[in-house]
Amino acid sequence: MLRKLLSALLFVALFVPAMYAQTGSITGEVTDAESGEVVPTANVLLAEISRGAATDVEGIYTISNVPAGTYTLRVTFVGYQTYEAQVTIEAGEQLTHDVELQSGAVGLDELVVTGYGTETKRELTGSITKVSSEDFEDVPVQNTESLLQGRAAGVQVTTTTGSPGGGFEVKVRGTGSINAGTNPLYIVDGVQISFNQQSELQDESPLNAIPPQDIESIEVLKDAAAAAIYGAQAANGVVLITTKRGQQGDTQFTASTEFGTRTGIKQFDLLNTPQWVDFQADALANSFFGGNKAFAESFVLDVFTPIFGYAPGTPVDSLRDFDWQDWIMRDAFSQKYDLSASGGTETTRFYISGGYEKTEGHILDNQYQRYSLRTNFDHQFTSKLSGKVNLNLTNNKFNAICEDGPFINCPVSQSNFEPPMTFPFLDDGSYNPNTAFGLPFNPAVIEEEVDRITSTTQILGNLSATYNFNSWLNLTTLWGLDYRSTRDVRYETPIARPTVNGRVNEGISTTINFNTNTVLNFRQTFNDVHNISGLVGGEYRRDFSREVETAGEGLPNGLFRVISATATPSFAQGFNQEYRIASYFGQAKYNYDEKYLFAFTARYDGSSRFGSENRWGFFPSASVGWRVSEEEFFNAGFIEELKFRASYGVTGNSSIGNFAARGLFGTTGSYRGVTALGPTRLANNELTWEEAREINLGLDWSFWGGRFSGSIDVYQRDNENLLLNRPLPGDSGFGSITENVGAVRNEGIELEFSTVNVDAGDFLWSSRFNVALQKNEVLELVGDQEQLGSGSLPTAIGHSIDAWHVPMWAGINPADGRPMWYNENGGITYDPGQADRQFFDGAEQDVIGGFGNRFRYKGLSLDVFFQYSYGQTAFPAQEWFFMQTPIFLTNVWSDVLRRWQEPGDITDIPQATFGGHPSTASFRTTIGSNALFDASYIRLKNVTVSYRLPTSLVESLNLRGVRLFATGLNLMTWTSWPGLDPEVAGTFTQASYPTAKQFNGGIELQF
Amino acid sequence: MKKLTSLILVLGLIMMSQGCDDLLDNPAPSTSIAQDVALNDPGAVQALRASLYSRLHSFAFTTLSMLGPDPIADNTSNASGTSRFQGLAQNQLRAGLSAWGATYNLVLDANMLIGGIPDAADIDLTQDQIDQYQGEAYILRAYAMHYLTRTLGYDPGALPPSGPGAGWDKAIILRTEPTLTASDADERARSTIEQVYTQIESDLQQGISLLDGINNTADRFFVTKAFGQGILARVYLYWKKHASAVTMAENAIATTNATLANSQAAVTAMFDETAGINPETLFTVRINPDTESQGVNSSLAAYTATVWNAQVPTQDLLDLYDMANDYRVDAWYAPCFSENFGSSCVNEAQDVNTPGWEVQKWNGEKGKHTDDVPLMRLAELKLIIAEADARDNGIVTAKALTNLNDLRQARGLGTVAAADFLTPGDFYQEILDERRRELVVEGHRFFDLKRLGLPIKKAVGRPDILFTSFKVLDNVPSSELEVNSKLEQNPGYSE
Repeated sequence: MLRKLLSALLFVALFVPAMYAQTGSITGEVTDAESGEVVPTANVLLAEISRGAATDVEGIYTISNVPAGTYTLRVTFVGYQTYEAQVTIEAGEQLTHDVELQSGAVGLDELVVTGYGTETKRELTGSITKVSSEDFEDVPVQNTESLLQGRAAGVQVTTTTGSPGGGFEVKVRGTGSINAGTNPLYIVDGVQISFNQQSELQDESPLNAIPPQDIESIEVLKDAAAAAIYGAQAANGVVLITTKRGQQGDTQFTASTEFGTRTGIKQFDLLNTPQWVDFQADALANSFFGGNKAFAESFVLDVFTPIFGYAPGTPVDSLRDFDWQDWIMRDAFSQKYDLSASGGTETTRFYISGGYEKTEGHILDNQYQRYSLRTNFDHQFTSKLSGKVNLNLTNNKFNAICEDGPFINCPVSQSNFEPPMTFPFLDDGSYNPNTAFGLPFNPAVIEEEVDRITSTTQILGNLSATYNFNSWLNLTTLWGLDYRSTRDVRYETPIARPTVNGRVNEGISTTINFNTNTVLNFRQTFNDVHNISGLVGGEYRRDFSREVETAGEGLPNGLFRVISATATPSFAQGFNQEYRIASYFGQAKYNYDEKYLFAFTARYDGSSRFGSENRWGFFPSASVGWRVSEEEFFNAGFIEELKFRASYGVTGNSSIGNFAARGLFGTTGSYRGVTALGPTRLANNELTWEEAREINLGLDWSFWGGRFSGSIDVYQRDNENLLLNRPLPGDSGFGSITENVGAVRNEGIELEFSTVNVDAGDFLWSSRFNVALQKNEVLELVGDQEQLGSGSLPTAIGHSIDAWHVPMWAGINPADGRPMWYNENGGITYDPGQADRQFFDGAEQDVIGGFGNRFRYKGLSLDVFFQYSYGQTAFPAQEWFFMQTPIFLTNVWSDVLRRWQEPGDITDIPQATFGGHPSTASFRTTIGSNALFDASYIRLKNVTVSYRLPTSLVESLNLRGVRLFATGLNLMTWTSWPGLDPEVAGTFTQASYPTAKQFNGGIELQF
Repeated sequence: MKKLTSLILVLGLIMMSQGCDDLLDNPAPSTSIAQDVALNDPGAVQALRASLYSRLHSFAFTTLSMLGPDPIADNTSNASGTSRFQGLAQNQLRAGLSAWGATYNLVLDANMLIGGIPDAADIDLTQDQIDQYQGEAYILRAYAMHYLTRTLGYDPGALPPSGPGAGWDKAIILRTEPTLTASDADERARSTIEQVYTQIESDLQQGISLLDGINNTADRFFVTKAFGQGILARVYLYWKKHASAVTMAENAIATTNATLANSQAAVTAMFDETAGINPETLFTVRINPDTESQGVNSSLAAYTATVWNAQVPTQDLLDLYDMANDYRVDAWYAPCFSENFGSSCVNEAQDVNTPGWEVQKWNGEKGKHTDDVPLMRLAELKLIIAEADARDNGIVTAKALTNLNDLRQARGLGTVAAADFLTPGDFYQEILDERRRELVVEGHRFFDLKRLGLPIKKAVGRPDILFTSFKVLDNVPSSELEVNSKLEQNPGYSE
């Protein structure tokens, strides 16, 4: 099919010259309205036919071969309001139309990408947040999700790891599902991206394929009205990513290079060697030696420290005191080089970019590298037919480390597992065999003798053709491919894996995600006031993934690191899976004189994941807008825009297992050489998507020429038909069946605004702010169940999905140093049970947002950006379980120094013991209210200073522009969170890789 | 130009017109197959039969059902410092023998084979193949149900006269149809003891008739007709249908090619898989040590002889043997030693028996602590005939004596005569003792006491459990009670 299309396009290309007779062209100069200076690289567009050009260094633009007709000429440039004018181009005419741009916010004419089209902000009736490239210029991050963090109201971006290139968890307007996926749908230049997590070694985002500097804008479709056009995949929101394209004009080159460093934000205050010995001795004395501390201390030095290689009886001051955190967390270096070229003629425009990045993480030898290559071509075959090609090739390579778990081979855990008297190397340079968990787990061995390499190659491409029937109707067909292949290699030398004499594990996972759609777009105005537009289309997607993994043991030496060199193959597995989605969709919009706006969308989606009885679903939405500011009676002169919006719609969440609806027979063992297949899951032919019904009310405003503009949205979304497992009588042979039964409500308020505080010619000060308040509540579970699960994090009706259910902490008994909790009757208990639990705040972030200020004086600009999160109550599992107890002989945090030691001590840390107190619950493993901490924070996320050299100087160098910049990331954090980083604090935080403080500097040349 | 327009339009519309179910139907999982395929493809039906058998590899149908009835009574107890099956040995509340999940997983596989596959005409399998698979399914379904009903319900004619369980005739839930849709997974009440035994009898009769002439006894790693007859004899014994038990056991003996091991060497080699299949078995569950074993943690051998050595024979049991002559002493007992840890555990075992012995029936000869598990042996049939014929006639019959003496002689012992027993009761006691000696760690002791309404005997100083104690029945899992409103808990247990 693709070949046919290609040859069709080729055929068309040969006949192009004959078709130019009925065209004219337009040219003109773009200048700053106040200073009269020319504005180079401004974007000029004939909106109806999507033909555009960029101004050259003299500020001149030319668009040729324009079919005769009347068009909207739109000129945009960073820092200026959008200019729009109607122009009529006659056949054979060269029209000259000069443009003066007014400085200020872009405002109402800003184009916003919506599902399968674009609209001006003025016309919007749904809730869409846009983040443009200018908002994140110079921010040294590796992928797209982090650009949204704090910049899009209501979009919660949680870093799951601080390793460079690592993954994120993105939630649009809270959590709407208990068991299905919560990721939004990502669409890059029209292609739906597969989010299959492929690597077992490194949490990575598929969006690593798009280097941030190639991104033009990111739009987040938040409410049902905006997202419903994506139907069964839209309930978690939709993120549309648009990449940069070429403009007509001379070829413009941009080269930039950037260098930086990364360091840890925080270290734990851990015990030093004398404190450690004292703490252990105290615990021993309390638990085993009847309080005889002197004897206990000699026991520590005779028995414990010899475990770490010291001669029995070595005095405390002869034990080493090694700072493991310093050794494991290091200063890291990063470098980045990018080159892009863009330009084009009237018929062909291109954007080509290439880049290389190598960023070290700040833990051991963790490292991220990316090679990227991107080409976007636009070609006008005839006055009516145009085509686009986007091709993106990337290779991401990680030197990964073990993360997210209290595992003895994870460096983050090791930084506090190792007691202070151990150290990585002996004096002769060999590995110290007496580290906390022995030679194979010496952190130096983990660094040197274990490789965890993940290499992902991604091809993201699409080909589209648009045929303009006339100025109001066009048809676009898009064929896209998202191919991603990930290779994981885990290699352990015989030193790191002595039991099997070395091991290699290699896995390859591949996703082939094919996506095509065809859309018929129309847009017409009648009697100057009736504006009608809309689209109808169809879409099809196949997402196929395959995994093969194998391992071998027994490696003779370090020369070979492949499976073939191993003595014994030890493991092999392989499987594949697939799902398909087919859809029809449509949209109709009408507005009266851009005053009263109406929009309807609908999508009819079928998914292979669902039961045969419920395979197809219908997702409609409707929205209205009223631009009060356009009314005759409205005469507040300083208000250009005041628009009310209201919308209601239904979207679906189809992120469930590919075969969750099927009755399946799976492998149940074997008998006498025959692989056994037994019933493993009962079919549910009724199984269908989770459904979100959302109502949204919004208000947009713009005052004083765009100097104060913003919007506020209030929403309530009920996610219903949630997939939950309904338990079945076990005598049926099945434990449960997945059914659409639960319900969760999310409601919230989102406010975002931007201001221009000072605009004094050369000096501009602007601010931006956003905040989202969100609340989550479980409404319904299976049958009349009130609660699913019984532990600390059940799912219970009337509470948020991640509400904590733990006993209330009552403090340390001053008499004997035992921990106390409250029982269900408000009395004291030393051993709280299930009935003593009560609900506490959930692990949801209740308020999120960001704010920034930008100052510009001539070529110099300063951007300061803060990001914050409030109301997350999280459990620092690693710290709580392992950093306050002597049991494992690991190091502990200095909080234990204020532990209870003698009757009368008032404190919050119990007496040091091995294994707790008699008939008392373990302080360490009991999650009570005292184990939950507030992970709220405000972070000075980003400070960027950049300087653009004056034009006169630049021209004398024969360049178009030179920009120098310096950036700091994660510079300061205000938080009471006890862990290393509140940003990576999930519900249940286990030694996550903390984010780093970064300083970067670079230069960008345009020529 | 027109051509071009239509070409683009066609390209676009092709895609739009494709949006029908065909586009969505094809994806299939790679490690599972759909239910309708599984029940109609000959290869898949054979794989389903393998699944039925593989359920017998579970912990419940190996270690729990074979070993568990011994510590919960008086045959074995925990060597000091060990914890495996300590709950059973101490008769802790809810530490019982029942295996709800494992039983009904097996029953579902059997029901799928019996009621879910097409006739031979509609599938590429011969009528003999289908008869064999369904015959096996009937017999194994009966076997599994009989195990579960013995743990959760009383046995026919042996209800406690008083106490919480007086008059309690509830047994287990009967499932004889495949669960194909969620509506099949309905809530059901427990059937009565009589109903369950009637169903088990009917299943076994069906199985015996289907296997007739197909696998009477030839391949004893699959269910044989003789095994069906043997299990039915066992069921009749529990049912107190003594005459039928005798007849059926004699039928089984007539059908099978199993022979009694009758020398020291043969008895020693009987449970050693390296010496070949157990000569006395009617059906043995074959276990591949690499992929099908409960392994170092949970296998029969791991519990008793090669790793943890947790359950060791009580002195009370050892006292029953003629130490000098009985072949079984040398064959099945040895000083406690953990092959896995390379260490002796004689000291630990001496807390339970004087010489510090372990029981070695399950000795992991196949490697990885794995043994094949015979689910019924010829020796048991001899004992069934001896007991049932005596009880049927109320006297020590010649037939009873002959069968008991056959076994005694095969084990190196002299014969006994009617005169050795003052009363029939003495003979019944002798049979019970012989069953202890012969069938230790093969899943009998607790059930033998319970079916006769006797107190559950305990050793090593623990008091006997009265037959009127509610602990004689295990509890129904509380998770099942939550889901099934018609399900009743056993008396004495809170939900």
